[in-house]
Amino acid sequence: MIQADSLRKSFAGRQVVDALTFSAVDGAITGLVGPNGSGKTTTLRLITGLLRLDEGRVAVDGIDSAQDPIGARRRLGALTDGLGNYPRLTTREHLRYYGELRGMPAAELDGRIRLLLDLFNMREIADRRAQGFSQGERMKLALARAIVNDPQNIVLDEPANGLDVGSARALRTLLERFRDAGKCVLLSSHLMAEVSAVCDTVVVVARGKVVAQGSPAELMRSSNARSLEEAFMELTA
Amino acid sequence: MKTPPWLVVFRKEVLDGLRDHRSLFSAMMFCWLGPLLVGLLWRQPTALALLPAFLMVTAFTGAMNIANDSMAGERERGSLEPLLMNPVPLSDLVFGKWLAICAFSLSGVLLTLLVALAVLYATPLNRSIHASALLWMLAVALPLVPLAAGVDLLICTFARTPKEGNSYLGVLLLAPMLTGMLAEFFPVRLQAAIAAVPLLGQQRMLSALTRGESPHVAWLALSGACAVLLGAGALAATTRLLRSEKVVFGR
Repeated sequence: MIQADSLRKSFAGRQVVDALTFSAVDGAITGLVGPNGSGKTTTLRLITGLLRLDEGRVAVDGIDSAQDPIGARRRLGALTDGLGNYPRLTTREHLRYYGELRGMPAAELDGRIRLLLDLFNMREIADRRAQGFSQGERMKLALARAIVNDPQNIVLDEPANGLDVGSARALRTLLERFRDAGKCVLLSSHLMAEVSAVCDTVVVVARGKVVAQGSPAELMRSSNARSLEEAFMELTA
Repeated sequence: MKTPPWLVVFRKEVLDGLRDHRSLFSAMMFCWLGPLLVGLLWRQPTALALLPAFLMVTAFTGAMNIANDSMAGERERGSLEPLLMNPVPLSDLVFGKWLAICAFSLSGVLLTLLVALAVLYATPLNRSIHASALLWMLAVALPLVPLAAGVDLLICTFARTPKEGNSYLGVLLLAPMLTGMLAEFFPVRLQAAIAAVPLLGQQRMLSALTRGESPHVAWLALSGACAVLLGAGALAATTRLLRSEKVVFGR
């Protein structure tokens, strides 16, 4: 479970995240949605501890990320906007590198790599170097690498960016599997179709503040909209 | 058994660096060019005086490509952010990278000395100095390895892209190159204060070895300690720089 409590962050005098409070619970997919520049990526970076909070508190499974950043990170797997693969390393080497960095014993890591290669349907590219991977393959590799130690919480920044229909569906299936396994999944997105298809709870952010939160159906009801997109436009206007 | 994070990073960087064949080839060119030039000029009485400059340069060129790829490159391809999200102290990540850079820098120095050894036996230059002098040269140049690795890493952490990193590293190369050459033209006398100046101290001692003089062990230790200290300072500064949000996320 991820709890964000009154998060504040400013850059060069500009308040990017302003008293933002929400929580993402276990066994659910929570979507952080907002227009470009609304502070979604900054919020995720505050949650993963890559940016320091000006004010507020982030707790990952109850662990305060400011007091015990390493403990919080151990319970968190994150997919960043840039994916960031190493072109000269194979899929298997990527998974091994991150598994070892995350302190997994060798025997356990071997089994986990086999499982992830199957789960992400990556057997064919297991021993291929990442150079020349398609966007879908790059995304799958980055996500598999992020959750190599089976963390309870999974954070994804715009995961569907640049994916074709097939890869986007595969991603959706994976996220639903994580939810069904009781994981806490938090993703940011500005694609309303993706959000309404996959998210159980939606947190709408505009100008660094939470303007609404609830299930897609609740948000549509409260703003008298026929679609989530309409509700989103209404709420962020 | 859990592998310490710095060792995990070290192994990955070495593997990644060894697969970058083009960079390896360009770094290796520096290693054989210098000694070969010395061999070609063997009739010149000052041919061996070129060796110190080339030896010092290869400590830096050996470190350059991997330092650039493992820091500025890491940021450019977007892999720095996920790397920093691992539950690992920042100092471990930096230390592992630095150690890998040291391995490549050391390989550069060793290869240069091996080619120098071959040149020594292929030419009458072996009448000027004994092969054992090359071992002493290794002892003098060895502390330049952590120094070059630390400074290269610091510069590549500051640089936003590998391209920017390359231009800074090119300027940095002037330090061993100019020290190596100018100190031959304006030979300052080796004394404790000179030995303590990184690069200059090494240059004066390497130069003395090329003239067949025996090494001054106390000054060798002093120059080594100063170079290693400066390298450690660069390592600490790199870790500090990486704590800056501006550096991690660009400026």
